[in-house]
Amino acid sequence: MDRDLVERARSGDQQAFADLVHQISDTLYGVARRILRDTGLAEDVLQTALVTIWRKLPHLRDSERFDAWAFRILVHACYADAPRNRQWAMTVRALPLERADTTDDFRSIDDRDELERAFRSIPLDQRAVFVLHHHVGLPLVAVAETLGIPDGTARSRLHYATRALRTAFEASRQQGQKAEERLA
Amino acid sequence: MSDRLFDNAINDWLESGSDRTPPSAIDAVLLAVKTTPQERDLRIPRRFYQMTTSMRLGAAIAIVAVVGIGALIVFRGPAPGVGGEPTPSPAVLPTATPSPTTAAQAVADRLDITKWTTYTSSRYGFSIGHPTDWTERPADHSWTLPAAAPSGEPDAMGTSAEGFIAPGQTVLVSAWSVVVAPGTSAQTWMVDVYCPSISVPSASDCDRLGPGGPRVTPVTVDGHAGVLARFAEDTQAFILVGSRMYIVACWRPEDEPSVAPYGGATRLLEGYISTMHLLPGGPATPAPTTRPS
Repeated sequence: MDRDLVERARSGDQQAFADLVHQISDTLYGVARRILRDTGLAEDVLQTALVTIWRKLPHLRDSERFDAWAFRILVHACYADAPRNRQWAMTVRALPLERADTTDDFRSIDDRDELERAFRSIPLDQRAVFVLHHHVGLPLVAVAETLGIPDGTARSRLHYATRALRTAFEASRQQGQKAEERLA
Repeated sequence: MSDRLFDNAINDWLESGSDRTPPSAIDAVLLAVKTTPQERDLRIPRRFYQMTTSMRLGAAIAIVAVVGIGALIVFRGPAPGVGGEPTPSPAVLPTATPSPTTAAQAVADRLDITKWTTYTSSRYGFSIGHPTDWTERPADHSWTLPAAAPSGEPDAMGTSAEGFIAPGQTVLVSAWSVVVAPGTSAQTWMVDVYCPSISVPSASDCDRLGPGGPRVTPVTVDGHAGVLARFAEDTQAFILVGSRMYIVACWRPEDEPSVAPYGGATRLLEGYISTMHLLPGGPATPAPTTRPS
């Protein structure tokens, strides 16, 4: 992150903030989309988070910590907005059927479907830890620091999320095997 | 089940899809930023980041001095006159007690929402209070965009919104709701209304959102988050609940004499939205209406 840009935005430079938004928006949007599993909702949350970042920037003491600080604001915006909009969350998504011309491809689609379903069923705080760790690539200690939670809590949330996904994945694989056996 | 297989599946699933932010989202943020002030950092640092030896010595002396003076006060006993015989005080000449200003009292009375009348709009799905001496002007058809885009002029709303008119027809407050597209926020909605890509009502409408545009502050209405946007000519509150946007507008500038009895347009609008409740079932299905040709 360009520290100078953060400092200028922090002192109220709107153009610097616009440049900053262009630098960070894709990353933040990607995180929100993965946590919420809904592009429309992720877009709303991103907007809320970016405006909050602008408003609260003067409170940021150390511009080196901008990324972690921004992630924390984004995740809290996800927590705040998701429950209100849960009933409108899209549950339909396009599957790449044209590529599913082999058993492995079908299996992959089934796997994704099961993982998707399992992920949607776990709490947002577990999803946030999982996405920051696996997608952003933060070590668990950094995830805990970013979210302002104890290391042990981050570890247990990651454990529960991974366990749910693994269970769903194994179930998907077993179903696939049974289907293949029946066809044979 | 191998971990590698699982890890690959997770990676494949997690990394699917595009992370490119829709340009409209960025535009909306940058527009909002133009009208959103940053919070001032008023915190006082608890300590200097780098304390020199002399600074530490100074701090220690200050602490010792404060503790010493405190101890002296505590152990020295009560000061003369405190806890002892009451000291006769010089006679105080009776003076006129300053009473609360009548203007402030009048504003408080007018904004006493407990005395307001409640109006229920089944068309738009809410109930809202208004001062008892105001006249209700019910909507006779549903509001649509852009046929009746609010342009800062009360007449532009026509009778498509629930209207409340002050005595002497000096102030109009409108309230209505509308279903919005998914992904709409208060900011993007303002852009849609005031800066439509087609059939622009007037350039000045769009200018309302530019530099020097509305001052936006967060508000809560019936437990739902919203924003209050103070434009130069009027003040409007936007509350997005699900796919429906609720709007309450006071069509007067903040410091116009007509809203002075209510403490200004913003205070008046705050009074209105503090009485607003959303109907649990939402709006009733609007009956077909015939619009005047």
